[in-house]
Amino acid sequence: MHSPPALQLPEVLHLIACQLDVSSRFSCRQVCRFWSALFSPYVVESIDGHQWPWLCKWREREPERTKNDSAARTAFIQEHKDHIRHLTLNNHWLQEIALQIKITRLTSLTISFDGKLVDPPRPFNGLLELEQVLHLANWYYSPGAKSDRTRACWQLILNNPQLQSLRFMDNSYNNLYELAGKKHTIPCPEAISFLLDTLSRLPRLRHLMIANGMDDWLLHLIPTLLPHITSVEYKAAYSSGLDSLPPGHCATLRHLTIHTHILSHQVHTVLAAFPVLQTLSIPQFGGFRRHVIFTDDEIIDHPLLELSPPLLGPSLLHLGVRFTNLKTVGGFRRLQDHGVLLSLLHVLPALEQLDVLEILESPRGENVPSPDDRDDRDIDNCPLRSLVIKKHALHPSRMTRLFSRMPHLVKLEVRHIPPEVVAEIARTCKRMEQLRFEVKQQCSKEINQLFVGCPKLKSLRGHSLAIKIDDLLQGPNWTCFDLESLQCGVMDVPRLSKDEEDLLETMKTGSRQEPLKQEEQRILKKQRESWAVQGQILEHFARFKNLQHLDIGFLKLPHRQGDKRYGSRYYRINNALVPESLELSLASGLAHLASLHLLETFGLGETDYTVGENESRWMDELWS
Amino acid sequence: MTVILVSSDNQDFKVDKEVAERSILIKNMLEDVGESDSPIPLPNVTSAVLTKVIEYCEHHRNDPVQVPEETDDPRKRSNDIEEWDMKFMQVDQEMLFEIILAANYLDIKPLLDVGCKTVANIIKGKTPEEIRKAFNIVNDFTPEEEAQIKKENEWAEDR
Repeated sequence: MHSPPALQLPEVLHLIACQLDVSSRFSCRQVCRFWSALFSPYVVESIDGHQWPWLCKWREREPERTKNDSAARTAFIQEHKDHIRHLTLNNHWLQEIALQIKITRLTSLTISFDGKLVDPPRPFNGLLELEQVLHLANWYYSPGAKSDRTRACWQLILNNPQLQSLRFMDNSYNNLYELAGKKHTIPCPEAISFLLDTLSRLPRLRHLMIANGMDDWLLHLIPTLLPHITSVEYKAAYSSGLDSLPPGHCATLRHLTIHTHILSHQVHTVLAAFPVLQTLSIPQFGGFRRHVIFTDDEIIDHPLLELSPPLLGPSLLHLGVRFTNLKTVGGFRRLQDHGVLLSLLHVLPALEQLDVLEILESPRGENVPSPDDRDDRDIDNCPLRSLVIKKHALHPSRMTRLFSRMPHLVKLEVRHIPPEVVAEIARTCKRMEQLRFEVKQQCSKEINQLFVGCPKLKSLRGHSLAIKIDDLLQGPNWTCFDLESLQCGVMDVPRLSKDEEDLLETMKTGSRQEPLKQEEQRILKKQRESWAVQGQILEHFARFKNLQHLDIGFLKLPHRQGDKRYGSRYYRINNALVPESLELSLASGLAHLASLHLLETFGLGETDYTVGENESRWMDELWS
Repeated sequence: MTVILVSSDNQDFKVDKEVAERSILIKNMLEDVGESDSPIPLPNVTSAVLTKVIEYCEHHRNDPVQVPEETDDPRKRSNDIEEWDMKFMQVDQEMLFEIILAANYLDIKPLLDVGCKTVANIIKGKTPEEIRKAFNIVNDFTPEEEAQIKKENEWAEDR
């Protein structure tokens, strides 16, 4: 038996190596000579002090051996240094190696070390030219020179003109900056000149991160220095430099993170300066401090995809930016009125999710539509998919208008809405899946329309929802066969009165032989009819095979004033018994629900429970 | 339009040109030859393997041509294999390597990639000895060499 010919082809082994993790690559280079030569370079492709924990662990465990073997390890990395593409200098030992050998093929470099430099830089006079730095670096490498990691670091950067990603973590940049003659926070000409020279040697750089110590002016020079830059992250002491960024400043930058206190008008300037920016992160956003009003000419459309942290309502409205691609902006506590909501939808024409704690009444007191309403701005066919309004003071006609423009809603949660709004949702929101609301008036017909008009409906819940039996059984057929969760009382079920039930009780317990009286026959007939109707209802729900939660009882219905009072027996559950609702008995057709295999909860709320032994046993067998 | 491929054991396979052209080798051949009905001999591929390869090309006939993307993240390797491909690759090891050889010879990059990913998945987590055993590879290191490599590898064992 020989090894498969395919595994003797270098091109095949190279492809395999690309798919392996570091530890498997190590195993492969131990298999045979041929494999050893092939897999060794892949072991060093990406070097990170954390990914290579043995580099430092070793040292802790066996300091003696480390001393002896460090030369061997350095030799190993030296041998394969041309295969190192990604380097993260995040531990001391690795720095030593990396700065000793000449690595030249890096595409990404992360410098992450703090602390004092071994050799403080000498003061420079006049402009510092790159040649001078190289000369100094050479001097440093000459025999007898003291170690200076700063210079070696810059040398490492300059040795790798193919760098696409350069990241200075923590204070590493500040420390390295010293080489360029920077002694204070204010950049001196030497430092600027040095940096410009260095960066201009990295034409392929796409990601630049300076965790601490970058200055505004660098942002100004970026498009000239780095023609392919797509991502910048930095922290600076001041943000004033942002004010003078010209519109359309850099057309390549897609990701920008600024760890500096910046104001809302500066956000406008930044967005105007970077027209293709996709993500903007400003953790220390200062909000709406200075009142800046943008004229219509100044308002810009911007394709931003992500803004973090999410800006609050007023700030967002005063940025002078229409975010044409922004899909989420986080939650809002309060919106002044309906107009602010519309303005938000106007500046966020791609918004898919909106959570509002409260929409207040308009300052004029009346929240009814007026002719000069800004209703007719371009929010038609609003792409909102999820809308939550915890509390509101919206006029019914405004709400109807609002929802008539939201055909994409998938999730809606809103406090008390009137029947006409329920009907509008059933008409417009064909994609609705999750719906939660409450009603103050009875709107059985409108609720029934939801089950017909929203074929994707999965969940309908909320207080005071109820549907009349006639609408349920005689209305149009429900289309929402994905229904999983329903909380909606069924009412107007024909039931026996209290007196009739009592009579039946005595019939059952008594041992009379005499034939049934006419009255008793009537009651029994009425009971059979009631059970037949209840059976139809339960049969109806049994068609929705995905039902997990079915709650068709009531809580107290605010709109069912004047319920008849029954005998005290009915009050033992709660003082709010609702008559004319479903029983929970096998005789009334409970067994229909046996086909709902996913059912987890079944609630009859405060209806008249008539759970007997048979029912208990049946439910135990089915659901336990 | 169809083309005829002839396997090493002289079996003819009639396939759509579009399917055959998933192989860059065949595509280039057809371009060089121009309009011609003459069968294309594939002396390096047996009929069993060719059947599999054609099955793959049929399934992927409408895939867009792969564009090598420039990625600078070393961790951005796609270890995920499409479900259909995964099933397709559930063959014995001999066939797996035959498919890889054929994909390499016929220059069908996506098939070669899937094959190599499958082999990589076999290798993952195995010790050197287990890898040798799995693929019948002879250990040809001298004791000194092996000791040296082991020493270097000890760094990795410390994870």
